[in-house]
Parts: sequence; C-alpha cells; structure tokens
Amino acid sequence: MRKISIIVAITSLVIILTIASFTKFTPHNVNHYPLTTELYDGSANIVSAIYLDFRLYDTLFEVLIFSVAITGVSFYSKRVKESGSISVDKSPLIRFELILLGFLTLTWGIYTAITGHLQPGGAFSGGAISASGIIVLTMAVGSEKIHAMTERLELEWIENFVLFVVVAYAIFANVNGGFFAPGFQVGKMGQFFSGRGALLLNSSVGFKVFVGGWAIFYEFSKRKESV
Amino acid sequence: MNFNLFLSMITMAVGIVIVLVKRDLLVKLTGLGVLETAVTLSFVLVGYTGPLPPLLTLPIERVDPLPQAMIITSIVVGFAVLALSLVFVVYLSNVYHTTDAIKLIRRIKKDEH
Repeated sequence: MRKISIIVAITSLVIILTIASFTKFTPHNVNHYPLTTELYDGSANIVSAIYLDFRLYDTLFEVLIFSVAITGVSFYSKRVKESGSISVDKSPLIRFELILLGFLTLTWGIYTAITGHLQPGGAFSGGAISASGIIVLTMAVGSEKIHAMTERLELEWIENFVLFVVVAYAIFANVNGGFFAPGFQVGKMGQFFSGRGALLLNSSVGFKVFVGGWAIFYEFSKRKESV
Repeated sequence: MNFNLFLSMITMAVGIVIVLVKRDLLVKLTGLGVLETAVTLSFVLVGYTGPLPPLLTLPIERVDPLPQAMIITSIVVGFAVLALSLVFVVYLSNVYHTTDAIKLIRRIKKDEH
C-alpha cells in the first residue's frame, strides 16, 4: 500500500512538472529595476539595490530567520555531549600555508561584503566566505585554540544587535521620507560612498552572517564524534 | 519548450523522490538540498536574459536582477533550515542511536509506553 501511494505521488509529480516546464512566462519589464536603481539608489550592483533598498523588509525577516536558526542550533546542541576535536597537521609548512590561506580568505570575505554595492558580491556571500576562512584557520592551529578564542570573544552577543541596526535603518528610512526620500545619500554611481545605506547594511549583515556561520561551525565541531 | 528548465524540473523531482522514499534522515536532508538547488537553478534560468552580470556599469545584455535578488533569501533560509535540522538529527541519534526514520518512530513509541 505504501509503495503504491509513493508510485502514484511520483508519477503525478513528474506529470505536473512536465506540464509546468511547457508553460510560457510573461516577461516583465526587464529595464524596470536598472532604471529605478540609477534614479533612486545609486548602487552599481542592481541586486544589492533590490535587497537593501526596494525589498528591505525581505532582508529584515531573512536576518531574523538566520538569528532564530543560530539560537536554535546553540540551544539544542547544549543537550548533546561534547566529543572529538580537530587535530593539526604535523608539517609546519602546511600549517603556515593554511594560516596564510585562512587570513587571505577572511580578508577577501570582508572586501566582498563592504564593496557589495559596486561589484558582484554582498553581505551574505562575504560573510560566508569569511566564516570558511575561520574553518581553514581551525585546520591550521587546531580546534582548541579557536574554541577558546570563540568563548572569550562572545561575538554572538554583538551579532544580535545587527537586527536592531536593520530595524532602526528601516524606521529612519520611513520617517519623513528619510533614506527613501528622492536623491538622499544616493552619491555618484560606482564610487565607494554611494547607494544610500548600502555600506552600513552590507557591513553589519555581513558581520552577522560571519558570526553565525562561525557559531554553527563551532557547535558542530565540538560534537564531531557524537553521531 | 525550454529544455534547461525541463532538466531543472527533473532535478527537483529527484529531490522530492529522495525526501519521500529514503528512510535515513541524513539522506532525506541531502534530498532537501538537491530540491533547493533545483529551485535555485530554475530561478536563474528564468532570469537569463543576457550573458553579463547585473551591474549598471555593464552594457544592456545583462541577466534579469530580480530572480537573483529573490534567490539570495532562499539560499540563506535553506542554510539556516539545514543547520537546525542537522542539530535535531544529531540530538535524536544521540538519544535513540539511529538515524532511520521508521526505527526512530518505533523506539519513540516504545519509550512512551
């Protein structure tokens, strides 16, 4: 009975998907967002203009979901006992190269985050790149040192304030026009200080994603052998 | 017919089949990842209107920026959901010593009685 229901479900799924792939999409005006970005936002990257300006509430709730996920991960992993650690390679040359690569990746992520309004990139990809830099550094110096550093810095406290930065930005943007007033803080397209609050939002949200990825890696690597 | 879109739909079906049929929770999460990647792929294909990235400094033959901006949300939410559900799997396997869904249900019911 279970097999028959699975077969029926899969067959109907394939039929629906085949029909869906034959449907034609009505194209919207592709030049709408480029024109509005040029007039009202000033970012060279149109995607950054959309998710930091025209669809800011989307980003706000996305950041909220990310916060909830990190809180859930650190809450539930407290109930699993700690086991295992990441060991270090014996060769000093490989360790040195890993340290170099880790710092390079960290810096590259920061650069990607703060210039998100000028080139392909942005807060989320930059934060993820920086967090992978932390993973490379953990392979270089061993998990004990990095874990001690994570517990000493207590970055999770600071990253919760990023949510308030985004909320405060959204409120200020709506008070008497604020950031959404025409021509406010638009700047010259292609320059570093342009695109309204792009610099503030990119750096703060990038920091949040960096700390979030780091926290998730920290919790999982502490319980490496518990599955 | 858009052949690339059809292929992405097939990948989507593969992901749903893995989630429905397989019993191991880790394999189910992998299937969820395949499904999510297929959705991303179909969005990118719908927005493909030119070979260049969506920058204003480039000429007009660039891709449609709207699907790319929407898919950023989907990627981040998918990452958050994956991390949270992996923690649940680790917790369950630590308590009941299995990741098989059917066995898990049996052991949980046994515990309740």
